[in-house]
Amino acid sequence: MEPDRNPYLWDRTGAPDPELQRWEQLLGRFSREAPGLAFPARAGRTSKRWHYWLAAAACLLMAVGVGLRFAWQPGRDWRVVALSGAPRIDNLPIAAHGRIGVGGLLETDGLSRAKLRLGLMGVIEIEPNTRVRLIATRAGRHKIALESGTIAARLWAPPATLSVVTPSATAIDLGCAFTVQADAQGSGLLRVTSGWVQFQLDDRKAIVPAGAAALTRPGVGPGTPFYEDASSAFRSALERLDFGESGYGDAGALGLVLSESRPKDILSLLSLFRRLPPSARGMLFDRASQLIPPPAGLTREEAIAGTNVPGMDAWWKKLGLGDAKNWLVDWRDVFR
Amino acid sequence: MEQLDPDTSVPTAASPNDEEAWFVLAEVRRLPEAYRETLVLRFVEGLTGPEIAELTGLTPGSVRVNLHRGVELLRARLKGGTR
Repeated sequence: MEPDRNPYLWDRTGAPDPELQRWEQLLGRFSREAPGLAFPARAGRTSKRWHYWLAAAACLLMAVGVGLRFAWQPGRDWRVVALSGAPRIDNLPIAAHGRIGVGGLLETDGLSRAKLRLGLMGVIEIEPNTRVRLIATRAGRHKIALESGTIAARLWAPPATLSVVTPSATAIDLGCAFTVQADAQGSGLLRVTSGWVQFQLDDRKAIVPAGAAALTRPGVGPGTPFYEDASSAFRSALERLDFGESGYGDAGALGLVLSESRPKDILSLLSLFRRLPPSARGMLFDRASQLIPPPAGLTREEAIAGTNVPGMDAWWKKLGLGDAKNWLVDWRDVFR
Repeated sequence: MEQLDPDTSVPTAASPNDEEAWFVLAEVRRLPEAYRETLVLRFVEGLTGPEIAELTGLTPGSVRVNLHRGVELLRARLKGGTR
């Protein structure tokens, strides 16, 4: 160990060191507790055409920034910011900031929250009582596991940049903002606030648009997307179809879903076409046609048989939900 | 050891010594990681050596070495007239 030749440096005892005091004064402004200071101003003459140079520089920065934004060294640590309390990374509390590596576990207790930064591509807020593990990270593909709790993700990146693995389904962003909950038993809830999210377990998929939600159950996977302001009868009947013992053969539940559906609930009805047996699709077609008529060229028989994919796609488009989010245009989402 | 990240502090209000502060901070950021983190905790966050050791889990001896060597390196770089 080196001799203690400067006690002021160690614990601010002894004779003050003027240079160290100066550094304390200057750098202390960067503390999180400090009011802060501005980026240094550049002295010099101001050109009347400064704004043209500024605009050109902004364009150049944007072009370079978009290119660099998605660059990512494989296995690179993610930045973690403690929003409140003392979140823990691999069982160690972090004071304010930290980093989590591949395989690392980030935990919050009932009083703590944290934020994961995915470079400039997005942020993931970790709500209280949540366990999140970083599974993989490389350019264009990042994967975390939500073991339990709640996270809220906002992304500005090409589709499928982030996957959130829950015990019973995986949420894959399609350029979006969303929250995912998972309870201790492995059940979960996805809520999409912007764009679209694909929620899937093996071949069972739900494509969930902004404003909608989807449940998931262990061993089953995601249910049918729905709007949370639907009637409770509609929601409970849909849950019976998705997760009940009789499954999609529950005629009573299907009847309730159809009778309780509002025009906007056609989202759920069209989503059910792939899940219901052909014998039940006729009723589905009839009710959905009352809510929003199918496009010309799509017949009842084709919808039941599933033989007119372009026709079904055209029906989906009539819902006005838009295509998968244009993340490049909707860049402001990342700042919301 | 947890890593402090000076980038997360983004000051916003102006003051007379801003330019010098940013210059010193830039030199701190160029230091080797172990020295940089220790000096950030000492001069940015205002912790003492014992507090840094407690926070980071490093031994007091390691913190002392990082502080002394980091400060010597920072002094040399600031005197190097790179401004």
